[in-house]
Amino acid sequence: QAAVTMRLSHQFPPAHHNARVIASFAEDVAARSNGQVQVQVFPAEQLARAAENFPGVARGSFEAAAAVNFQWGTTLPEMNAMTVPYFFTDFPRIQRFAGSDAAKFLETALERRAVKNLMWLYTTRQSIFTSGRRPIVNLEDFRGLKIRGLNALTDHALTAVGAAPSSMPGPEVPQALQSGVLDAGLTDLSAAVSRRFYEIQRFGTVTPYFTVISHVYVNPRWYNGLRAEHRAAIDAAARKAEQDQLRVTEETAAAAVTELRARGMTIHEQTPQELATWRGAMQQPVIDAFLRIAPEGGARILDLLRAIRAA
Amino acid sequence: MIPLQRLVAGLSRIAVAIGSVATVTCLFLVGYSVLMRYAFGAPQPWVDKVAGWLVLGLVMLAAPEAQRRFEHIGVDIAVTKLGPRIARIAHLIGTISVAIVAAVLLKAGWEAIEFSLMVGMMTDIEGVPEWWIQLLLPIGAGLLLLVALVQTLVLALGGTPEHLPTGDEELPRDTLARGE
Amino acid sequence: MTFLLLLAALIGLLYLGMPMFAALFLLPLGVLIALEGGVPALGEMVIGKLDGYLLVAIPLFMLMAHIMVRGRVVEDLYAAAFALMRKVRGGVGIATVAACTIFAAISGSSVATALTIGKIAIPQMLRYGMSRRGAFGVVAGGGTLGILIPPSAPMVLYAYVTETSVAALFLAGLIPGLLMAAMFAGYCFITEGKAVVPADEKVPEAAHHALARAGWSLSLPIFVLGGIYMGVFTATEAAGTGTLYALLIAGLIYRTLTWRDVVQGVEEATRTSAMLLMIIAGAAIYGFMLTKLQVPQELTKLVADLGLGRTGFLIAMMVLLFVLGLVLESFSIILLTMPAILPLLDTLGIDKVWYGILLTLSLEMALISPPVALNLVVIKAITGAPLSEVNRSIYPYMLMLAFGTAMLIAFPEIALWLPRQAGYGG
Ligand code: NA
Ligand code: NA
Repeated sequence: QAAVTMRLSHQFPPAHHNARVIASFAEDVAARSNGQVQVQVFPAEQLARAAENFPGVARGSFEAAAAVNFQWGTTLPEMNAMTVPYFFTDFPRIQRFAGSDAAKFLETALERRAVKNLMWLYTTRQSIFTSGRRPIVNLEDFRGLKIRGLNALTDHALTAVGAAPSSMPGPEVPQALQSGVLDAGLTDLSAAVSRRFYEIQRFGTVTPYFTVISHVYVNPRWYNGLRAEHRAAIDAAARKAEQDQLRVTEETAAAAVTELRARGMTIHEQTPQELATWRGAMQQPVIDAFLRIAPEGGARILDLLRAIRAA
Repeated sequence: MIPLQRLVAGLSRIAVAIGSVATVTCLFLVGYSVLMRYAFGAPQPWVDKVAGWLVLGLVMLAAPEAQRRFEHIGVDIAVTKLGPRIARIAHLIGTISVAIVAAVLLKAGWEAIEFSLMVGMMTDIEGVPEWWIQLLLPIGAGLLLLVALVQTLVLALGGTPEHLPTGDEELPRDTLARGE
Repeated sequence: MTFLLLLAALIGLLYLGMPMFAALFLLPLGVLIALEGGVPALGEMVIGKLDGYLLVAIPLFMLMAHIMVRGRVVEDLYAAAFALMRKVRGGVGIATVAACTIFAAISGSSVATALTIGKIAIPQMLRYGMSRRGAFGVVAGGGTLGILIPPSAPMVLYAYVTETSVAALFLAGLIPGLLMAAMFAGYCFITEGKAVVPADEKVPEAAHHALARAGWSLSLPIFVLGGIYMGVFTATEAAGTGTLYALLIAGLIYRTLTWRDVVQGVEEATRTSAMLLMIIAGAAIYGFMLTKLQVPQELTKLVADLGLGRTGFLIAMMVLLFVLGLVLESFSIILLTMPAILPLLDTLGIDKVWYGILLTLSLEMALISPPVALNLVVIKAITGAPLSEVNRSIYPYMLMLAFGTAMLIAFPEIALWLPRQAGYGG
């Protein structure tokens, strides 16, 4: 019988690469604590919807939850920093994120919002712009394009190049693409495989558009009340999960490109010149909007991220 | 008793009227969003969010009036057949249970607002704090509590609250709307 | 076992006189307070569940049906069906099925379908010499199509709690709905040979006149479903544009709608949405409790231990749903069972759209299975016939529904073909 139960709610489907790492984390904690700490994972919003996770954990309804960085929206706007297009997408820099000053800055901000960060889970740095009739290669290809956006902040990049981003629940997107309600999709590379975009879209442009980093946070009162050895087991498993996730995510993305090609999609991997053009048009509008919604810590977190060197 | 009943009924009628306006607003917002997307190629992502808030609003504002009319779905058909005494007790259990739930929701809504003010919780729409939306919960729950308390009081004093089912009705009152 | 115990406790509270939404809040609150001392983020949970774009479809679809009924377009629909079918063998019954089918495509409610069509059709059927049992049965049975043929309020709810596409569910319900309608019509054709045009019948309106008048209201379901099929709009948008279209038809073309009708229709749609959505909010807390008690895991383990497999599980569920249908209404059945078995559907590889249609069929069965059978109560209310007589009328339709369910378990494609054609699912 476990002495401590940690209920962890998250929104990823069980097959998602983040969910797999979280599931291993649960096993690792049990092993390291000799079964004293049991992590009960509730995937796919089974316990609480994504938006209910934060109040649920902060107020002690359950002990832990995972969130994607940009879900903090304007509640903790600094968390959006890595979704600025082409700003923090080099893998060597991402590898150094956990433990960096940037991460510590965000951890402090989270503590002021009544939750304690447990680990950072690198989720993606590769996006794919999909389309049916013609590939999206040059900026002109965006003009008038009805595209599924991600959120209000990053939509500024799409409007800047003349596209019309719209929001739509995930399950409706494939059909909207097929029927022409949407002209183009924008999604995480591995999600293009799991949502079977290859069945409905002919073209895909793969680009290191922005980085998404998820994290697991816990209720601080609960965490501080744990016995030292239990806390040590959880922390050690968390550090291992952070490292494992880096590898798992890169492998998933690489496999996704191969899979999409095998399924008959015409995949275009962006050239450095194209990347520079896109960055030139898309980055600044998002930075401007980001600094507007994050007037206090926005500039600081961008500096801290810039300070993380590739080597 | 009568003036109190009238006052609460008046408040409940005002609330449901505002709730109805929310429904109509939803209708036109959805129409507007379709029009903008097709006629002007300009999707309006904010509409989804605002329409969701309006749904929360119409629920919280119309729930008290539904209660005042004893319309909330239950198995009333069975209970009212068991004679006037038992029916009265069943109605009392019904109104008391609603009052308890309303009180719990009132407190829960208040705590949610306190928390979101403390951490500065914002909605997905720039500049709109979460507590503006959350406020609908304690407002609706408070009114629901008033309605249920008045009904309880009237029943306990041996009176008959307005719209109390007599047991003669064969059909639920709003058949069209029964999602069955 | 925990699951059945909780279900029984809940039903007990209902029979004490509590409204569904109150019981759905109080039971889990009691359990969670006993186990954990409270439900810390209750307010956020309630708000989170009610603030959803998908739910916007519920008030809007209700409003659409209110406007069509208050605009009295149903009379025209029935007149057209009747004019077309009256001379066919069993035609007066078949016309009722046809009118139910079309009205089902306007409203998301079975009770409304049975009531609206029954009022006009039952006297007509009796005048033509149809048996009382036959006439009652076809309205009660035909009425159930209201939730299988889209739009359907229970399907919107199911889509919401399972995160399935409403549009896919709507499309999946269409062919099974039409097949059930065909089966009902065939039954009338076979059994109601005695019903004939009475000798004193005044020459009714010519079929093409009646059709021309009904044309606009017939175009509403085509507009709504066509729009969803072609992907022109989502289900919520279909509800919104469909309502505006209904306002246009009833207000400007038929001119049968007064401002008073509109205002009352809006208020009623709002109130009823509030009733349904309060239940949804309560069910959220109930589902939260089930998950915390690990009921889904317990059920998954149970199904594995029993070695039920996919078909076995489905049959067991259909039996459970039938039993629940004896005491509960549709929305509660969905909300009480789905949180517990959703993970199981994934484990067993059961398509959620397919299961949604099976569930709807079992809800239809519940609507006509005594003792709590709303469609039968509707017939009793319209005709004043004793409930025992009404109850006897329904057995052939229950058998047909059971047969339809079995067919759908054996051939999922009946439901899944159309949504796949439209681009949903793999
Ligand atoms: Na329907
Ligand atoms: Na029943």
